Amino acid sequence: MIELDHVVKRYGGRGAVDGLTLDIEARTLCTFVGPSGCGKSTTLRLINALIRPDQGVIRIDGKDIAELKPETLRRGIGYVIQSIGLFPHWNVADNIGTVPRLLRWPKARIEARIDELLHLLRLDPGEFRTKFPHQLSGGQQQRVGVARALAADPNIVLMDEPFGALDPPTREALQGEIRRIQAETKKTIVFVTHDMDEALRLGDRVAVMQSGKLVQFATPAEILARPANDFVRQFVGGADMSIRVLAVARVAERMAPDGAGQGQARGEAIREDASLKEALTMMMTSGRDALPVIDQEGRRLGIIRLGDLAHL
Amino acid sequence: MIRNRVLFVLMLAAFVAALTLPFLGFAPNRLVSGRAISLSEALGAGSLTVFLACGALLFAACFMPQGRALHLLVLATALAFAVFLPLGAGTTATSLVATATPIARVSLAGGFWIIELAAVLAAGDALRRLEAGLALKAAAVIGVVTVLVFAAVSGAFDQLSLAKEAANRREAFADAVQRHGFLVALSVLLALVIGLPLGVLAQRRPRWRDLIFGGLDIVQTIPSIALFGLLIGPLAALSDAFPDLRRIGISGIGVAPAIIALVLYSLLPMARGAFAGLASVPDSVVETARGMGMTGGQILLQVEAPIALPVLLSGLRIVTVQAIGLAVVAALIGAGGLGSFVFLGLGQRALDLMLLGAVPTIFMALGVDFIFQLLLGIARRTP
Ligand SMILES: Nc1ncnc2c1ncn2[C@@H]1O[C@H](COP(=O)(O)OP(=O)(O)O)[C@@H](O)[C@H]1O
Ligand SMILES: [Mg+2]
Repeated sequence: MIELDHVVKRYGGRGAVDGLTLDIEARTLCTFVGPSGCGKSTTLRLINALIRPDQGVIRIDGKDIAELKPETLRRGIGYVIQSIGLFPHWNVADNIGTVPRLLRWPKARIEARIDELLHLLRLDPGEFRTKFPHQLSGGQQQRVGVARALAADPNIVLMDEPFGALDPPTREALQGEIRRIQAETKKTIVFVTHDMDEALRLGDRVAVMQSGKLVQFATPAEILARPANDFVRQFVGGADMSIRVLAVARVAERMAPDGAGQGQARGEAIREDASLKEALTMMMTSGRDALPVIDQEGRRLGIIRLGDLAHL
Repeated sequence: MIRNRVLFVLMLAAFVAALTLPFLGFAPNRLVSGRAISLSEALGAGSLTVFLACGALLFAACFMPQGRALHLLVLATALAFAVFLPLGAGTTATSLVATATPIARVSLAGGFWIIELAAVLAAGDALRRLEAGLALKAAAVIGVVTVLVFAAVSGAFDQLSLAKEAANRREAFADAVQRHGFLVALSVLLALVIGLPLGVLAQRRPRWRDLIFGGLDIVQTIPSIALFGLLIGPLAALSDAFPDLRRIGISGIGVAPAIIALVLYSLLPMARGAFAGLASVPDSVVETARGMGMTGGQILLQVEAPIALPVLLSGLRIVTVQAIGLAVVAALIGAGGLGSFVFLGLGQRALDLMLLGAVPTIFMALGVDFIFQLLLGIARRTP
């Protein structure tokens, strides 16, 4: 768990981070969102001690990070930034192996870990191991950046607008990878973005910031349903709010289990982790008003009806 | 239409030089000024025909559609020129001296130098137009040097006055080359040891930047002779006050002030090179290196230094070539080196003696420059 306790960081008298208090639960993905300059990057850099707070305390698993050697702390935290910062003079394998080498892992273990991570990020080791950063596309570079951050198997990964410079399809693909990797590895991920859609799509919880202060900290559905104030409402965007709710809420949250007297649905089933938007699309294209729901392994779970989509 | 202006200008210069300037000078002894020998007289009918044919080819190349094949042809012809001109001069000298007394001297004159220079520059220009890789450049330079060295060893140039001058002063010449190399190597090494940290400091502490570069800039603007002179006073006073210093070779004149002056001149380009090299490392790279838990020393040595290396090497190249030239002036304050021949020759109005100092200096500078180009190429290729 990461605890921020009344944290203040000032630059030239102005509070870049101004009394931030929140707890980020272990093994969840927390997104920080807010307009440019609201203090998101500063918050991340406080967590891995690249900068020190002027006031307040930051604790990781109960320990005040001010008492740790910064290098030791950082080797246990993955860090990915928008401009990626791959080492241009090292090939992909050497880049990924950076932190394991700093931690003096045995060579064979490092090599095996590099292959494992390339597989995890869907890069063929045979092809990519020996390539240099300048030989990669932007999306491939950021995959390597993410692999490098995961290399020493840190419990915490900090990501600062990691996909901000990528084109939309690449970006969506990598967002999918982050969800998948988070589900598989159960890391605590703190993900910074200025894009509300990205924050809502990825976060288990979303922290909305404004001028160094926390405005709202809640689940995506909660933020959409009950924005804390006009700033959040505006940021979320008023008009197509209902469509966004459908996009972030999952089928699992609205379905009725079998045997609950809801009857049976026939035809193609939808997975429980699909969004309500996908469910609505399937209903409309197949002309049904109810869909069977299955889990990841294809086992039948229950039913979701058109009417279920409307409740909040 | 002229399609290669550079080559055209070079050929024009060579042509005019061939027509109007003496190619060799022929004197019965060292003290009297000799008779001018033109290119046509020097080469004889056979060689002259080949020479003119090659010249005509290069001239025509200025007007032909440019392409790789033509550049290669120009390169080969220019290199052949650069090799055969000295060989021809050497052969002519041998036959001329055979007809005269042994103390007769055949010296290389203006025409030779200009045509030779034009040929070398034309070859360099062709290499540039070819966007030649390291291998081709190295092959061209090593090829020419090998042939000339082989010819020199087998005595092809022995009768040229420059070679005679070197032979007469064999020991002094070897000493001077060694001393020159020593002055350059030691001053560059010291400049590296002092200049690198200054460059790093300037990059790490913006407040110090203006002070460091401002100070070094001032040193750079002092004319070299003045700086050498300026150091004589304080160092002489020092060694008077502390006789021990004199025992280890530090005094107002000689090697010590020369080294100090050379180091002072080298500091600015050295520190600038280090600064620019570090500045060329992207901020994001340093940020992630820190974020991954590298220490300051690890970042400097494993990340910043390798990325900064090409820029740093360019700085070192400037420093070394500059030091080779400046070390000539150091002879004025008794530091020795090739400059002593230059100033001795100036005093005696003996052109060959001057050239005995100047030509090896030029070769040393070109050689060092070439080696740095190779190193730079390697540093850039392995990212
Ligand atoms: N190193 C710094 N020096 C001075 N001001 C800074 C520095 N870093 C951040 N700031 C200021 O702090 C505020 C928050 O910055 P940042 O955390 O980078 O915002 P965000 O990442 O949300 O765009 C901005 O006003 C920025 O100008
Ligand atoms: Mg930012």
